[in-house]
Amino acid sequence: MKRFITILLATLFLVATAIPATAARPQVRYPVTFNGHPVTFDAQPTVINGRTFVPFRAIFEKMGAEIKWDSANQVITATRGNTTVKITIGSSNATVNGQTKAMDAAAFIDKASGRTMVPLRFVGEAFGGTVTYDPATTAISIVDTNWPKRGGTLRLAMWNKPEGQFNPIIWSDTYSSNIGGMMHDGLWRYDERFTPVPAIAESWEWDSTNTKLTFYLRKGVTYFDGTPVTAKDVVFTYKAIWHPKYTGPRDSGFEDVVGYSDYANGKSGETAENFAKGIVTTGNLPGLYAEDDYTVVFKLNKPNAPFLFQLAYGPLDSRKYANLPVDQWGTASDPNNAFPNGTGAFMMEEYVEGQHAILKANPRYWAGRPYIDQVIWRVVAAEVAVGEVQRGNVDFTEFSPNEIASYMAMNHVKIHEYADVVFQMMMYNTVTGPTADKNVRQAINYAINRQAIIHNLMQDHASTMYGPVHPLTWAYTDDINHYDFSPEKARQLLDAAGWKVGSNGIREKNGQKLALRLVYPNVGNPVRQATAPVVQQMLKDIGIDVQLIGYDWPTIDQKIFIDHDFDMVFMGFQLGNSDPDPTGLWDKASTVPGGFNATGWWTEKSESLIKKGKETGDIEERIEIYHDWAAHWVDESPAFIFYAVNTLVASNERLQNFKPGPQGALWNLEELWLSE
Amino acid sequence: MGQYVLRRLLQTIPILLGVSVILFIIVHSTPGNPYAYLLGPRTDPKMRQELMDRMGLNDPLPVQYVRWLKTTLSGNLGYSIRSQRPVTEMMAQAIPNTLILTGSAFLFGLLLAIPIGVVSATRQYSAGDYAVTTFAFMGISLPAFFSALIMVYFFAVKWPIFPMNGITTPGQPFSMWDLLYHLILPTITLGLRDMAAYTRFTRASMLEVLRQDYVRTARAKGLAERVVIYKHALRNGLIPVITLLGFSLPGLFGGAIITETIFSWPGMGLLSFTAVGNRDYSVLMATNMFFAFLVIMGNLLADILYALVDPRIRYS
Repeated sequence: MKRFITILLATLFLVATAIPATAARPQVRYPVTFNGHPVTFDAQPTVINGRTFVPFRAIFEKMGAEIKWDSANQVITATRGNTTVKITIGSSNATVNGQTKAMDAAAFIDKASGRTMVPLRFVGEAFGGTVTYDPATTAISIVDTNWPKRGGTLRLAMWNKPEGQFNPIIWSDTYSSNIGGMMHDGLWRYDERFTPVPAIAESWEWDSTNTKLTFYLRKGVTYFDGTPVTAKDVVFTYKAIWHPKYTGPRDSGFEDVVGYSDYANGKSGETAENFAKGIVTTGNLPGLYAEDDYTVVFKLNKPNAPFLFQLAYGPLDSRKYANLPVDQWGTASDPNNAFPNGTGAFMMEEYVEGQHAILKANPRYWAGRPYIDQVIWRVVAAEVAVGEVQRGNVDFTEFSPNEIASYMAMNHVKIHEYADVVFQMMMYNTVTGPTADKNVRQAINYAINRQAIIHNLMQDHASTMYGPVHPLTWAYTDDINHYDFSPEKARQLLDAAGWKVGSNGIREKNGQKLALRLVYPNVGNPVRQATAPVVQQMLKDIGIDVQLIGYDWPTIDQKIFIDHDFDMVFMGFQLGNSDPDPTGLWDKASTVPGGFNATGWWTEKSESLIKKGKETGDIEERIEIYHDWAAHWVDESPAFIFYAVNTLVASNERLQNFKPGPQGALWNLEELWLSE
Repeated sequence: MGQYVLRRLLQTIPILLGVSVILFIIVHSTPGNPYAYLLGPRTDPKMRQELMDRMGLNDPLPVQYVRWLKTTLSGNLGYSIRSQRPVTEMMAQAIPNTLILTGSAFLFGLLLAIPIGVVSATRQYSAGDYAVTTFAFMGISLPAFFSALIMVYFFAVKWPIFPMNGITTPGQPFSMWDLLYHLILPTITLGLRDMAAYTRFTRASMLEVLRQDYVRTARAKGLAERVVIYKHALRNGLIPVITLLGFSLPGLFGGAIITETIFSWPGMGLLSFTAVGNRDYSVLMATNMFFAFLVIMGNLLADILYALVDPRIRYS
């Protein structure tokens, strides 16, 4: 008997391991859409006895209802317009405008998730929608033809003309990316919580070694002309970026992909002729291949947890670009540039260079046809933007704190303020000059009164940020040295470092005066400019002579980032994504001329922590690592962080469902609608 | 006269050559490079060096200059580094826009300035004269962006009569009325400044003419004052004003940067200004050489007009 069981087990074992381990496409069960737009629930829909239940908040909010929860009586009240729906937990009778209506089942509280679940069919129909169920895909769709109001034109302003490259792997300026971004979707996009969620990819997963990332593409996503988007197109797009003839700005961060350098150096992956001519094909590479029409795999040499954020660029139509050399993409000789065969919510209708771009809704959009019919982007000088909003010609715009009074005076305008991904700092030169001494840097930190600057120059429209990790990332901690304003501590540190106060109030050491050059950009940010003399005064108080120098952007690029010819420099920085990995800003590789780490700072400890943070996918572990790294950075202080900027946006009250945030203002573009 | 013009035209060539050398040195010596926009944590710093090598921007200056000279003389003005568009195309789009704006402003300014200047001259020291002079000083001293914003505030926001930017309304098919409608505010903004200058100019010139003997003779002959002023004096008084046309030539094409920025009018001013910010060498060289050429031609035109209009002037 024992032998039999052993043989049976052995056979089973052999059989089990003999089955090739293909990645199993995760099943998406019961996807719910409202007017074609996917509804995301924070707990899974449940099916009991053939009836679907969903968490009530997400579905009611999607349908535009205002919700009240009476916990004493366990009653949900949802109101939209003239209709009020009341659902009591445990009862299968609901009321609509006071009249009792039977639901096919009672609402209940799910023990596991703690969420209150309501029957989907009833809720979908309660406000006048039609609910249909597709047994083949288990998809449930709710359609309400009366709400919200369809149609209208969204009018937007851009303060400079776009440079004109609308291809997602080529564009390099904000407005080209704003317009291009409406025409091209990516594998994933941000949701309201600044977290990546599925877009063209239905889901993705890392394998257990954290070196293989598989994307499962949504079936049914098409380009504007109806051709399906397939895995080949994804492969094509990233090969284009890695192609030796590619001249755009996206080609960094891919070094870990298996076979990347062979391809990027023109050794293998295309024919010699194609490499020379700049032609990209859809053939697979060892580190990037289409497993089938809807599955794309990236293979890395070593674990890289934030790698997902490198893959933001949408699949380009490989057919349209098959014969165009990659260094001509996005230029005047690219017929797909301004009028691409894209995947986004809108398509280009009219483009007048230097003036405006008009886009129209894409009826085939995978996330549901946009409610709005048309978007017009116009070039509007920043100085007159206020006037255009006042007149109602522009539906929303960003503005700076000093304009807030003008916007608050407008009745038809709503003001949104949110903590944004931009922060302002003062970088130190940690390699040459007096600031190469850590004690000098720390002393300067103590001498700057952050609170006064935030209060007086930003009118409190900024959030505190004490270390290099941004408050909007999940690795932020406040538990680090704040360098709270203390000129006394500053003086002590400088004295201890050998800088003694000289006869004219300025410190000296070995006959050399403590005179520092503070560079600031003299374009783009009047508040930052105004901060320079303030800091100069604060440092004079502790005996440092500061010379102020204003440069325009290309000069800063040359003198600061290439020549490292400065002592201190004001710089703003914008997070590229929500991952706290500091590669690109604070690592050693970025200290080269032209890299962003103009401070020249790096340490063994910092490098090893950064490396560790990328190698594990475990969030808890990564939080620990980044806390350690932040504490180390704060002690070394290669820069002084002023604050994280709050973004102020004014929107016309006719624009509904507008929820700007660090994820962008148009993250839910297809669900914006105009009430008039 | 013909010989004179020919001589002047031939002189243009060495002048332009010299200007191009100086321009080239200045443009390429400013700190920064056209690839500053590639700076960022997600861009490989090596990429910039590669691009600059590929574009020949790391070669020694004389080599680059000769290369530029050869391409330009063959008619190819190059490509904008930032937007990859041919410079000729960008200028071909910008110049008509600028001409429409500056041309209208020039006409507007001149048509108003001449009568006002004449009236002010004939009634020198009167209240009207002082009013005109003060107004002219104000017009010249107010900064362009200030007057532009005032115009926008009053006529586009407070009383929303006119559109505040753009050449045409997006989405609508092109129509002359639409263009004129958008043209009015920027023309008045620019034209008022021009008018202020021309008024002073006309007034000074008329004052000088009115002191001439032949004017006294005309009055003595019993001619009506109107005939004296508008038929006899004005013609001579206008001589310097006509030559204004020649000197204004570069300005006409150069565009008015501030007005173009505020009113989002995509003309030569905006083009060259943005090129400076982008360190877009090809565009900078092309537009500035164009302006240099216009200045030279403008001066020549002024001299020719002088000779044509004033019989006392003869060239040999």
